[in-house]
Amino acid sequence: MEISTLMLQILAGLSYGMLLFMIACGMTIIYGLMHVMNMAHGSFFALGAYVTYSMVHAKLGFWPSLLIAAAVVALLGVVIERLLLNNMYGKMNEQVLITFGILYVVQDLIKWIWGTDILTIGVPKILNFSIAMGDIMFPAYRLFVIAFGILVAVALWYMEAKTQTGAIIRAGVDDREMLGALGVNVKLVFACVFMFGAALAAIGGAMAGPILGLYNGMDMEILTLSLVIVVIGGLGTWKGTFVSALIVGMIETFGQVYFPNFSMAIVFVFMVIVLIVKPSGLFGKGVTA
Amino acid sequence: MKKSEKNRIILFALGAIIILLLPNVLSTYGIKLTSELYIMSIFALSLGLIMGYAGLPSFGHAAFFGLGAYTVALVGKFVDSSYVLIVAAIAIGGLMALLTGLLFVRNSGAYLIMLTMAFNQLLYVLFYKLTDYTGGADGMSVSVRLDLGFGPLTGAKGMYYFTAICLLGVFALLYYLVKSPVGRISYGSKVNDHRMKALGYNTYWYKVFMYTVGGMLAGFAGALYGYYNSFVSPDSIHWGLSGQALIMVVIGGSGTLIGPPIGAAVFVILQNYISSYTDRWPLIMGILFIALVLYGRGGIVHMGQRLWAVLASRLKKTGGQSRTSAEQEGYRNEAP
Amino acid sequence: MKKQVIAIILLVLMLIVSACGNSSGSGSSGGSSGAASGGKSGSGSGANPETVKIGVLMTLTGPAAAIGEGNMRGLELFLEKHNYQFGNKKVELVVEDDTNNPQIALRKYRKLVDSDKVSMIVGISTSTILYALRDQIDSDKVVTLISNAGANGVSWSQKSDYIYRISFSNYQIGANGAQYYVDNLGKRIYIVATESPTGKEQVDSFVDAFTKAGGEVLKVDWVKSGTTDFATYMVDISKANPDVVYSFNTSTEGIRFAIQFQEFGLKDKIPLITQLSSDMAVTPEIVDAMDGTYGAWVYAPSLDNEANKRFVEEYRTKYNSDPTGGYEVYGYDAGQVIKHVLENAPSLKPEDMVSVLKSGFEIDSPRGPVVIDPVTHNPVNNSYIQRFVKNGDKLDFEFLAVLEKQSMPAEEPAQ
Repeated sequence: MEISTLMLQILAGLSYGMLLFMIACGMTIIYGLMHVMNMAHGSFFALGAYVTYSMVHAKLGFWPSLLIAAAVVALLGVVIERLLLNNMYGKMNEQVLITFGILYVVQDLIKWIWGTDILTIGVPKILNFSIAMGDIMFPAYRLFVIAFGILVAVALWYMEAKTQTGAIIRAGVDDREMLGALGVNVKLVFACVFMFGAALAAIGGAMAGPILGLYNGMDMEILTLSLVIVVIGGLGTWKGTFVSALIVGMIETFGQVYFPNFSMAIVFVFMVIVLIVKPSGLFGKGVTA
Repeated sequence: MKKSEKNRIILFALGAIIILLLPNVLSTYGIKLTSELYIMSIFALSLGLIMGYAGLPSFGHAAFFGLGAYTVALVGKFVDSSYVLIVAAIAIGGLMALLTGLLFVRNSGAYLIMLTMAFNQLLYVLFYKLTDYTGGADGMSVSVRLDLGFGPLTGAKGMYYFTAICLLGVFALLYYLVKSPVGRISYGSKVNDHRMKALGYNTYWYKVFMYTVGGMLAGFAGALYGYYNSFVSPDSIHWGLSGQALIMVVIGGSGTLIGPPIGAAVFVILQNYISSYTDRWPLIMGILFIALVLYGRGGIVHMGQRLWAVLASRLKKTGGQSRTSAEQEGYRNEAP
Repeated sequence: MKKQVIAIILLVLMLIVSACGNSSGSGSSGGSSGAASGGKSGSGSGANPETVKIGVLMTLTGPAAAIGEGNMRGLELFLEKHNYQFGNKKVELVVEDDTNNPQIALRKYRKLVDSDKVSMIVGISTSTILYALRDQIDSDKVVTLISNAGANGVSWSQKSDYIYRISFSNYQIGANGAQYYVDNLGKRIYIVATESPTGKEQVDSFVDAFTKAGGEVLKVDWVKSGTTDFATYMVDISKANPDVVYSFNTSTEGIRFAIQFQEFGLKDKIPLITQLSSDMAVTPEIVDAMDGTYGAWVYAPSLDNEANKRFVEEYRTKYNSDPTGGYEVYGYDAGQVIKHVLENAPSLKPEDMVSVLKSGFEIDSPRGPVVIDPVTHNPVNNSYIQRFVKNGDKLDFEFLAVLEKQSMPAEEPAQ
């Protein structure tokens, strides 16, 4: 394969991987701190996309719509966390069941409010052009997605390594009980982290809109992918998620061309192997299951 | 207690008689619907077994169900005998459960859920992609007909009686399994694994055993479904179906044997019936599900039990009171 | 022990409830569209009108909803024109939505046949559903009139005495236009298709016809249903540099493909043939992407014949908009077939209705005269090559050629 074609395939894989990263890292951070396996994470993703769609249709412009969607989903996340998950910390099964119930309910709500047609969100006007690379044109929007993903990663790194909030969260991941003992308002931290994870997923959904489109079942599909990514990367470590999201994005994109029948299967087998050999994931520390 | 044992058998016989007499009052549509209900009850029971009696929450049980259904569809192209096909479905379901169980059962909680879900989706992707063999996304017809040795069972009633007898049989089998030493040890391991280990039991093998039995039964249900529906598609092996089974078990009442069939009934009725009046039946189902989990006191069966206990205590006043509240205590500890 | 009693009582109660509900249940309507029945006593003899229940099983929601919705509009338009009554037979529709899911389709089919006890089934929107139901229909002996699904099988190896079609076959759709494309667009073609029975059948017949017409198929890319990102395919197409590209992708994938085709700069360089219809152009991005693309259809609203002029007029009056493509016409023609069958069949028994369906009668369709071939059970009709042209925020048709009396071979061509 020519260099330029290879480059383009890599870029395509990267842009997809970055989208996956944005969505999955919310899930891993939430699990890392709160030990909540949030089955409704895909719902946040889908809602982010659908609310953005509605706002765009109300002539609000892509960027304001995205922010509104993120805010709406963040609010929903807080409500869910406070009302439904609040008493369930430590009860893994109940959490999973409740978040699964939420997934089920939100999926139907989406069908009710937005119908079952495929919807599209246009690429935001400033980014609606293509850049010539070799003899192919590559959409600038996808390059933007890559850039944004890197930005998010950098922001997360900075927050974790250099700020106090990050320190608190790191401490919480290591030893939750200690956190309370140190006088930190654990309830507040939990609510904020959950909200943050949900918002990130919603932003991912909004940004994915122009590329993937909006359709029923996108929540379940992204949930499966996120789960796989989070597990391979390591529950609780967003760095691991970053790497594994890119890997999965690449496998999917290249797989489409070379092993169209088995790209997804390869990803799953990879995940099962990781879970058996190193259950904490490629980058995770030993997490108590 | 011998008396309650006898009573249970009487109740079971009563239930069996009612079930066998039902076709006389149901329309053809009702008969077919109820047959589907029995099949899904078996599936729900198989999940209820591993969740409620072995403490293995699985989000991937549809893997074995789908394997059973596809076995009938695929192997049915070469072999006609229903006995062979059903046994093959049970065997394959069981074998796959055994192999994955050996690997997965050591984990618990989140990891078990993720592993089972991942494995489920792995199978889904395989069956979805191998279009040349499985028909891919569009599924494949099941060309074989159920034939137990006295001619093909083509009528609705024939299928009904067969599935009813299967359900009653599975129910009885599970009743004795759960009461048996193996069953009790598994249950003990669900309630408190460390304690059982401290008592010297190698809980790992008990869990693997129960998981395998769960897989066999799910495969059995899948095979029945293949015959019933005459059609199999990747939907039958998608983790969404695993989730549905989970909903059935929880709504009905995990940790009981009657629970899963009741949950299955609620689900099938909502799905077939209410869907004709409103498209929003998943919403109703989901809210009901969340409420039940949130309320934390079990499913329909548990609520029924408490209702009865309350009524009974009102009738019996002091004597019954202490006994029934102690029973309530016992049930509160049973998490799904 | 008392708990078991409660539990069993609950179980029995539930079964009894379903029993009562079921045995008293007669036709209930699908959630989204409801039952349509003519209430007025209409034209026709005053003799005791006999109600004929006709089951409608279509895809009314989801990505393929355009099919069922279009069919329904056409069907209801025709039936309303005749007040839902033909002779002394009153038509009552029982509508069910299969959401393009074969499992749901089977379930709804059973309801229509066993619970509602319909005399005939109209609809079947996709080939997937058709193949899933075919065996049941044949063994249950239910007369079925297909108003969309093009699966070739039911005209060849899986023909059934009870299944007839008024829409088109995948063979016809696939082979149509091949000669025209070779002569006018280019000889070297790159094909991208959605994996499905429909896709496979259409592509096979197209490749067969295209190569026979002198063209060369560079590559056929099979895309999984639900694919969202076509980046890699765009890259490949660019490399292969064909004269023309044919996207055999339907609904979602088709729209995404067209949009991304434009995004990657290919639209300006290479003509694109698609299977999209103008009713899919619901957003400006889609209109833009579809502008200038080619297609071969059996119908276009601007067709110049008497039946079509009447049809468009009636459609405008009832729906305040124009028909967009084949789906409405197939529904309308299904209505015509139903009328012919109900007026000419000696009874509602399957054998009697089938004898009329096999008689090779002609109907005056807006697409031109149509005859259901007694051998293949498939319609023989015209085909029109056309091109989409952007008109503000809508798409118009530009006619390029007419192909007459397109049929399909009596047997599957040797591969």
